Amino acid sequence: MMETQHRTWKGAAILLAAIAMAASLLLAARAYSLWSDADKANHSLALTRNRSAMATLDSFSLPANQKVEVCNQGDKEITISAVTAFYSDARGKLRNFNSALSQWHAWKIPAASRQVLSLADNGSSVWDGSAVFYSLEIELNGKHEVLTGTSEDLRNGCIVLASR
Amino acid sequence: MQTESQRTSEDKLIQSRLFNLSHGLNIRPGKRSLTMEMGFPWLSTLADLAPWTGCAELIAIDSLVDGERPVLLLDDFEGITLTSYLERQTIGTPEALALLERLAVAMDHLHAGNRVHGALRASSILIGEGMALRVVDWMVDWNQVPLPLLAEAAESLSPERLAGVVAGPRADQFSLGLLAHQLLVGRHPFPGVSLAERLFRLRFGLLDEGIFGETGFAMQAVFERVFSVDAEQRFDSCSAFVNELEKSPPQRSYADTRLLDVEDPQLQWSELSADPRGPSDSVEAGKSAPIAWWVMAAIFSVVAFVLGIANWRMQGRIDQANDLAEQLSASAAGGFQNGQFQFCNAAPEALDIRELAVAYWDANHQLRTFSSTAYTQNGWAIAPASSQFLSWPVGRKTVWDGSVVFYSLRVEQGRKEFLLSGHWNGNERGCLHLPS
Repeated sequence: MMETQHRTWKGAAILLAAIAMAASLLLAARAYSLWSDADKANHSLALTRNRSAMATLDSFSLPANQKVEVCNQGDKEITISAVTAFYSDARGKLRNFNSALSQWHAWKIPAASRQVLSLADNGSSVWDGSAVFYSLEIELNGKHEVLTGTSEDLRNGCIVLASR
Repeated sequence: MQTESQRTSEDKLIQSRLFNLSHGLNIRPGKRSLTMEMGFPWLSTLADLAPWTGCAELIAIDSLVDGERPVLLLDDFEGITLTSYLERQTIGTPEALALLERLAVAMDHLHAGNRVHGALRASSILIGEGMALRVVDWMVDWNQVPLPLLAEAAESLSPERLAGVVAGPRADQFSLGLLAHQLLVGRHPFPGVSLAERLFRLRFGLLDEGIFGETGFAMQAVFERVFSVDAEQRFDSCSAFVNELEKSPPQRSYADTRLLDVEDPQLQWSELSADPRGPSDSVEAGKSAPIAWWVMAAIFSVVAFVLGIANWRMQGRIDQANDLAEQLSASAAGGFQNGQFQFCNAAPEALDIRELAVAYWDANHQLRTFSSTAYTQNGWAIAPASSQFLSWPVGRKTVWDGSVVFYSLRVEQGRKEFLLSGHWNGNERGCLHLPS
């Protein structure tokens, strides 16, 4: 009876030791894997921090809005067939204006005139003409031309579409 | 230790030749009875044996066949000799005393008729089913057999017989004492390394002193009396001797102390003796081994627990770092770093980028612009299922290297025209596709 009891206890102890050893091995392997994952996560976090810092600096580097004003110094009407512009809204958030999304709205610039470009729909402003970056497609003499620039370029006055 | 095959052959031998003393006495099984060939001149007629046939423990004689070598036909009795019986199993003290009691009755029965066995020994006794016993050679007057012919029975003879004196009934009591000692103590009371030494000690009553601690005072006294060299000092009868033995049980049962290679399913001696470390070592090892395993299990459990905790904390830190990186990545996505302009055409037909205007950071971190129409009216043609990095080299000089922060382009695909504009996320690589 005692021999059987000893064997039972011994068997239970061996089984428990085997289970604990297997669990230890699995957890050790998992720990090794986690150390590797932790290194990757830390490296990724450092990289993301750098990018985030750079993105913050870049946003401060963007020039301020300027109104897009065009001048037609020529003697013919010029059509601005497409406009895209990026500007900061009242909350400082960057917005994108695309005239194609507004039924390909076109602007007619009469000869010898200047005009601040903007777009309103039923009394509400879609784009007030502000821009950090703009791109204008004009038709002149049957040719399409793209005029592009930044708000820095608008400090010098209107965008000359055609000269005399 | 005897093997099974050895025992089987021995059983056959025992049944066919209970003993062969090389002097013409043979007992072998017949069809219905045992037969004994009589080579002795001192037993001639069945009538001489008639007075002693009433005892159940003395094997019955069916008939005597006269002839040149007279044959005794004995009552059929299936059994093995007590010698063989003791080699394969132990007999407990109660059973041994019962056996001795019946032998004592048989001997006293012989003595009552003025007959003496003269050479009572284990091989004279057959043990059958239910511990039935028969003394098979009681009809032989062993006192008349010359000593040189009694080599097999020499260690069972009384001192007076060894001294050449005619042995009386108390000689059988001495032989019964030898049997009793064998059954209760487990060994011969007159041990020796040689037969000569054993017979010398037996002749002069030099008892084994080692039995004193095993039998106790009372039984020791009984054995000392029955083994007296002077026959007059022994008990009055065999039954009186056995009665005294029953009143003085041994301190320890012989069956409990005997260390022999015998099969006893209750004690499982074979299992214990199979362990080379011995029974006591086995018990110690059995006690210590589980403790070692439990200690090992405990150590591994602690290690597993610590590792589990460490892993859990490590996983928490990794999740925290990943969450933070995800938040920062979202804010960084709104940044304005240069990307590399790449256009992908997944459509089955080619497309033309007619006009392209981009803004990008130059080396001095100044925002610059590039307009394709300042250089060409043709733009870029993107083949079906292909992609292209856009840039504008002029000779060895690169006017625009493909960097982009803001873009605006006009694309023609078949009859469709698209005006695409957007903010290139410099943190991500990828293609600009036409909207589906």
